Amino acid sequence: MAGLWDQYRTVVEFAMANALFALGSWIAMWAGVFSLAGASFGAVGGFSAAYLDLHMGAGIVVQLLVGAGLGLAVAGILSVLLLKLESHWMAMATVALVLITRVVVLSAEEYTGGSVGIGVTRRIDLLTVVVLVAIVCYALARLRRSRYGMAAHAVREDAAVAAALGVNPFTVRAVAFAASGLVAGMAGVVLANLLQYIGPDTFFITLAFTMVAAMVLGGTYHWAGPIVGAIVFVGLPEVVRSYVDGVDELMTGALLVLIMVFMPRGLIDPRRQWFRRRRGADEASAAPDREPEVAR
Amino acid sequence: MDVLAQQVLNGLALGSVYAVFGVGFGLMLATLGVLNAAHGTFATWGALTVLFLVNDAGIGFWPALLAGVLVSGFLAVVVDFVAFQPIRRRGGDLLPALITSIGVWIFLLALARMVTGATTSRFSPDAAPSGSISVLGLTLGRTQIVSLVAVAVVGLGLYALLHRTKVGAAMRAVGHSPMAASLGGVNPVLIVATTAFLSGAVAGLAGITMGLNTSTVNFMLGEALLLKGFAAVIIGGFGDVRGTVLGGLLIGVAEVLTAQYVSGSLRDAVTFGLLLAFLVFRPRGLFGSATSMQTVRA
Repeated sequence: MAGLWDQYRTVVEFAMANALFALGSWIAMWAGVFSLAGASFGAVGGFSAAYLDLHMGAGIVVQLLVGAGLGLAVAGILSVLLLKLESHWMAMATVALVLITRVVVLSAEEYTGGSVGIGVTRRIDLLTVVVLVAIVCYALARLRRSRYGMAAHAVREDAAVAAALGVNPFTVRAVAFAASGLVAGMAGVVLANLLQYIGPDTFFITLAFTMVAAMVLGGTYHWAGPIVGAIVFVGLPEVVRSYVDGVDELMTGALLVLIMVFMPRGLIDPRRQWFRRRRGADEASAAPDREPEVAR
Repeated sequence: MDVLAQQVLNGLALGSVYAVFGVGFGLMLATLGVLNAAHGTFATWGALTVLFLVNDAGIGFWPALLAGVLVSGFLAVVVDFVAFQPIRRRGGDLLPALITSIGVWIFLLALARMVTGATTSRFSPDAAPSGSISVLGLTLGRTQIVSLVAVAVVGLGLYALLHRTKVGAAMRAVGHSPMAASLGGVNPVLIVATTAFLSGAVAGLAGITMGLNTSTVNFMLGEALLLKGFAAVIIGGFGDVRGTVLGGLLIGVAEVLTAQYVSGSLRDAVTFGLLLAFLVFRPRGLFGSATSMQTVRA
């Protein structure tokens, strides 16, 4: 049993780090903002953690606080620039942001090590990561039925209606985007500590794709979705790899297509559970089967 | 002065590869409503097909090029059928199609790595065009001529197809609204397949010219193209063939001149800086012709 745990300990750690990233993307998605910028905020967190570690020997708590703060600040500033764009352009602008992040990392050699990258002392244990994920989940669970949570959901479903009801879509989205920056910043700190080496390609397009794929795979309508998605997306290939070599990526790709084709709302779908509990209720059949939609 | 003229020419040749890829990528985005993360792998597979045919099977370069373009085109049709069609049928948005395209991307990239064994090679120099000619005191490589001809053929051909023929009108109509197009007597399934084929075939051509110009073919070939082509599409005003071609050429020239006069490490900074500037300050592209994305949901 201990042997099995040692084998999969790393898998669990990386799944949790990716769950944090996916949760960050989900928070933006909550208000209808489809963003891949989590990779950029992760870079902010990751490289600040590396700097704090190298120059000040700061512990994990300081690193996380600084990463979260910087992620929040950068996302807050960028939200002013990006959120005025139409939603699809906004999504593409976040792709552009991720591409530019790599250029910035490459040229800011003094802080990031440029193309060589930079080493980080590991100061985090699995328990800390799990507690971090739990804290974020607790906050999201409490927010779900709050005034803000309802407003965010309304903005996602129909921004015009939300505005007519006295909700300012821009403010709701800006808050969600900034909060997603905060979580992604922390996730960057966690990833840097887990990898113990970060370079220009660590926080690049692959990570951005991984986090949105995990989010959509798990389901974008409940905060548990990104966590389940990250566990499936990161964990399953590892399990496959320990039995059959070389086909794990082929399987990941095929699985992603299959799940999206046959379960378009993702693995965790609150409406489905609710439906199951009250089978036959009229309200359930009356609920329109709407696709996950980016607000526009 | 001669250095400048020569570098502008080199930039145009490099940019024409980006432009060709961008035109195909933009066709997929504008007509089929798919921001296709797997589009770069179509280019990779086109180049790999040529690599196998020329280096291993000993077939001539030009027939191999034709085969590579066809393989990429059919690959795109299959991918569209398997991964994008089911989502389109549900009236899905950009997001689910992007996610399935990420799945396809992971799959085709991993497959390309397996097949090539992650090694880098190049088209056999005996078979592929090589050497250079001298025009007005400037050196023009034969591989550069191929990519310049490719951009001219693809740019003019696709523009004429989209704006001067019935098939093109049907493609634009399906891009706008499949329902309305089918009411107008268009078979959307056939048109979607045609569009997917064209967009994949063009990507394959871009991949082959890329492999030709850089003398490098490996499983990552399409990834750089994907990012630069994406930039060309946004700068050019999405769905606009003329704009995308100009956008690609602009990026190529800007990259080469930056590498020559400023610093080689700033090449990508210029490209992606241009990309972000256009997205934020001029989202309608070079000609201001990009229609609202809202109208092009799949």
